[in-house]
Amino acid sequence: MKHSQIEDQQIVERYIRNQLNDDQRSEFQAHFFACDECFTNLQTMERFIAGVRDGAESGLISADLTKPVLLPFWNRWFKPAFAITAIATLVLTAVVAWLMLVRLPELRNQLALERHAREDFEIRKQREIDELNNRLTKREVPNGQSESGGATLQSKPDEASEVNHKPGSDLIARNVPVAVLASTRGGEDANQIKLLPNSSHFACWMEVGPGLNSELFQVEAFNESGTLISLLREVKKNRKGVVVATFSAQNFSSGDYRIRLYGLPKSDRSLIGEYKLHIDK
Amino acid sequence: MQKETPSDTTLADDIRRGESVAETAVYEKFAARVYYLALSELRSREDAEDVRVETFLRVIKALRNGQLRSPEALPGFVLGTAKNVIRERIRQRRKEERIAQADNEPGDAFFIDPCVKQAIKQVIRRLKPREQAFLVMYFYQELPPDQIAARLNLKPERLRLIKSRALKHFREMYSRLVKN
Repeated sequence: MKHSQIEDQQIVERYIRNQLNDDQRSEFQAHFFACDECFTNLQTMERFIAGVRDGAESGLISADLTKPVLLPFWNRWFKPAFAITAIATLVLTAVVAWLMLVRLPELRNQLALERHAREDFEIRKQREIDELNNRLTKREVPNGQSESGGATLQSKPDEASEVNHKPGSDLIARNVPVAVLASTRGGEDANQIKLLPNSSHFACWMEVGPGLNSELFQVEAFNESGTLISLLREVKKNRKGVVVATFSAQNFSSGDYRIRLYGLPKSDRSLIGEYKLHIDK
Repeated sequence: MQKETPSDTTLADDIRRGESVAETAVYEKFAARVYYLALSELRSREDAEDVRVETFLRVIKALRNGQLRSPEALPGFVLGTAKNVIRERIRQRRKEERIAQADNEPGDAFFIDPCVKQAIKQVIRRLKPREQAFLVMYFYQELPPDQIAARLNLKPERLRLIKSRALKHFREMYSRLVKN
């Protein structure tokens, strides 16, 4: 019997507690008769076990200690709950830190960029509007023919087309209602325009074509009973051959009207087109 | 495993030549073992002492007569002689009907002395309640380790650690007390 075997198999303790068979017992006896170390260990273990038994019998060790141990409150409930809470707190902290340190600055940057872009766009747009209005104002002075300010827009179609390459785009930019008039024959439906309560003017867009000789035009508006409601003199056409006539909205109420467009040669005038217009206010 | 000098071979040869010093050396070397063996088997200090004396009378006589063929087998020879004496004593006690009375005596009492009690007290004081409970359950109530582990909510490997640590501490304390 070797020392390693004696230690691994706890032979000393099992010898004392009579847990070895006869062969193992004899073998170990032969060993400790020749081995001082094992005999010393044997005696120590014998005394230790005897001491523990004596302590148990004499009450040195309380018998209450040997009752089944209930898991303490900490282990049963609080420890797992604390662990879960701690993990949840860590995760939450990580998420909040990511939001605060990474995501929020990103969103702020995006917001700032979008704000700057929008401000630039609004500035550019305002400049364009101001520029157009300035040009319109400059044109108004020499023409000075409009009725209640309508000439401000109609006096400069060429300029507007140069800027936007789209006739009437300045009117649209200023939110002036525009009716694109088409010539009517017989019982055809009238052209329609809806005027909002805050509309001070409305425009009628009439295409006469670039080939017409007349450069100046006169536009007349009649109500249903044939009374002349508004008259615009010396209206110019633009390069695209469009005449834009701007009327004051306050002279018109809801109803059907007839718009007549005359070319103005130097000597006489000639009727170019007549248009039906129905106004809703 | 032989730590002491002279060797068993030398001792056997010296005894055969009639040197009494060698006889004393053989007694000192094996007396405790023979006594321990007899005490654990017979559970009587008187009987154990008788066994020890009778065993060495026979061993020394045999050595003087040169009956030990192989001197290296001296420990085994002493053990065999002690076992024979113990068996004879058991047979004798049965005849005297003292076996029942002897069996009623607690066997552990033979290994208890004031030093053991004091050392155990100090060991117990240093242990936690659950560790104390383990020692009682294991050595006194002799419950299986897995059952103890379940009752005390301890891992089995932890039990072995507690046991070896307590034993080590006991060894140190006991040695110190015996020296003092």
